[in-house]
Amino acid sequence: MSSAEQPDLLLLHPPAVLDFRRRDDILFACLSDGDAVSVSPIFEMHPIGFHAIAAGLARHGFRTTILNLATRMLCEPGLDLPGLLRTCRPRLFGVGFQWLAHAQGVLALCELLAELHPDIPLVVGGLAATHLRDELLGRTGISYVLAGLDPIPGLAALLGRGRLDLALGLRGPGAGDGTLPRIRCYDAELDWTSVAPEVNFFLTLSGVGCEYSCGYCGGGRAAAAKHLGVEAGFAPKARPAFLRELASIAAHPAKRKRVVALQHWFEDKDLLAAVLPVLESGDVRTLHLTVHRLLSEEHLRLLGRSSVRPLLEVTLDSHDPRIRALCGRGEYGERELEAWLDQVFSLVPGAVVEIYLMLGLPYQTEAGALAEAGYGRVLLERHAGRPLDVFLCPMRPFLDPGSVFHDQPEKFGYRLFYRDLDGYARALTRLHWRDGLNYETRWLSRERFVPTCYRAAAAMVEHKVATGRLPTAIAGERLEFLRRTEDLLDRLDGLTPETLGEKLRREVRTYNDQVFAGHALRRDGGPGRLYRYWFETR
Amino acid sequence: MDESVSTVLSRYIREDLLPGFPALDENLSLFEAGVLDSLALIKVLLFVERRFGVRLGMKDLSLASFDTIAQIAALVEAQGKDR
Repeated sequence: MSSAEQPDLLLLHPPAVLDFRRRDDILFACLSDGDAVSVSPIFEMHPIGFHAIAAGLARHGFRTTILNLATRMLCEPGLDLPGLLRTCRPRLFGVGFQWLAHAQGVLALCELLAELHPDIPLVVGGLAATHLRDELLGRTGISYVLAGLDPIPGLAALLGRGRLDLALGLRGPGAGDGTLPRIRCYDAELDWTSVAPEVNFFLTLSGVGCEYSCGYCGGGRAAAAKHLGVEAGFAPKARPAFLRELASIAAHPAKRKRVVALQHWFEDKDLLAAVLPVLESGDVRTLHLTVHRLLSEEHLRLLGRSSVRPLLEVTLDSHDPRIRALCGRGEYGERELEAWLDQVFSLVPGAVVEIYLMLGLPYQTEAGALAEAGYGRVLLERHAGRPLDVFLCPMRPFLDPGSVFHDQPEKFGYRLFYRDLDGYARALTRLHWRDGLNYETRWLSRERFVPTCYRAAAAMVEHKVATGRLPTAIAGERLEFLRRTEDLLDRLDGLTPETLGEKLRREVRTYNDQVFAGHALRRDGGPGRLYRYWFETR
Repeated sequence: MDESVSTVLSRYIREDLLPGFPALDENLSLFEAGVLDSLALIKVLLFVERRFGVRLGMKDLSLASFDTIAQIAALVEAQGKDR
């Protein structure tokens, strides 16, 4: 980066494990049937919060650059990370620690930056940083920790606008005591027209926190109120601002856009009615809606009249009503779901339904976990010929801090193995992912959870072939990869990096390269290839 | 006369996959044009498997070999010859 291009703030999104490309003592094992989770084991997620920060700081006259290191390193195996970072000389480094799965990557990246740029201050922030703020402060390379969900005042103060000691949530030299900001409304507004023209995938945030409190979610209403300073657990964005944001998506030059509706704003029928024409005017092809509460007939009729195709992601969580109720899905039973699905397909032409079932929940035994796959088959058969798919999602690597299940583990039958920053960072570098899981339940030990997940995933693949949802060749490859993963995990069981021989290390390296190449292919050569520069400033 | 693979694929995309989509040049980048995404990709593979009896795996799904109707048709024809 030339000196003229140097930003005020450089925001960095690290991979889960910073040196993942060289690690032959960690198996980055595949799981799921390949489609359920679109990120790799290094969690190269889309840092939407970074974009909001950049927009917020621009209003103060500061220039922010975003580097998604996780995606960069995945797509460019030869990337010289220290070389790249050496050329960066912002006034302030910002390292995102939103998701706990980045614990090792965050700590290692901060150490590397301290080595390369000891003179440039560095701030860490995000959801996980808020939970672990006391432990982060004072770590190598970390000058400041910014907790809470209102980072703009703290960052602006670090860049010279405002007093450090008055910036809520900020801790470090000259800062106050880190009292979290209380959030009643959310005023971050994104202008999507500034995002690269080839990006055709957008997210909409209608506020911070959430209307729901799912048992396993650390960003839900209860967690937001208790841990994140969000009054009432959800602070909405003003409606005009939200509509302006959607209008900027419509104005973005990409064709056949996809929009992911986060936080359930579409449950407000009037808002949905106002949003659909905006999206239609901007060539939005698909609207992803995460359905917690079954949408009413009126909602479906609205969607049915629109040219925007809805993709309804139903977070059913489990076939077992007891488990569903614990997770916060207790409002409808199987009969209601079936009637609703019939209604969806009759009222909304072009609708696609995806049903998500989780593994690792309370009451879920080994047989219960396999029954989730069995229930998936029932749904696929019942809705033969309809655009409906089912996905299994094992909860890994961690049960979210701040979630109801995490905060009251005994009550919900969980046993936690790691509860501090070093524990989480160590967990991410375990050879066998079983040993890195931070939980097990009274009904399913870590020991049994791993093989159960692979058996359930394989069963799901077979059900999809049997019901015509998955091409035979792809399914065959997935089954073979699942088998190979299990076999390798079996052979690694009981070994440590010290006892791991060179032959197995080579095998681990080859396996990991295949996992990373597969995900890089999705980014670079497949449907997701444009995500490579998602949110990066160019 | 039997229709060409390209013609069948083009019709499938315009009539079933994306009804109303304008006529497709067989060399148009399907990803670039937003025709193919992860969902549509699976549908195309299922269609190809059923209609032509060929099985395409992950190795066939690179941008260099699965981005245009002409490329997909070439893959289908090559597999057909191997059978």
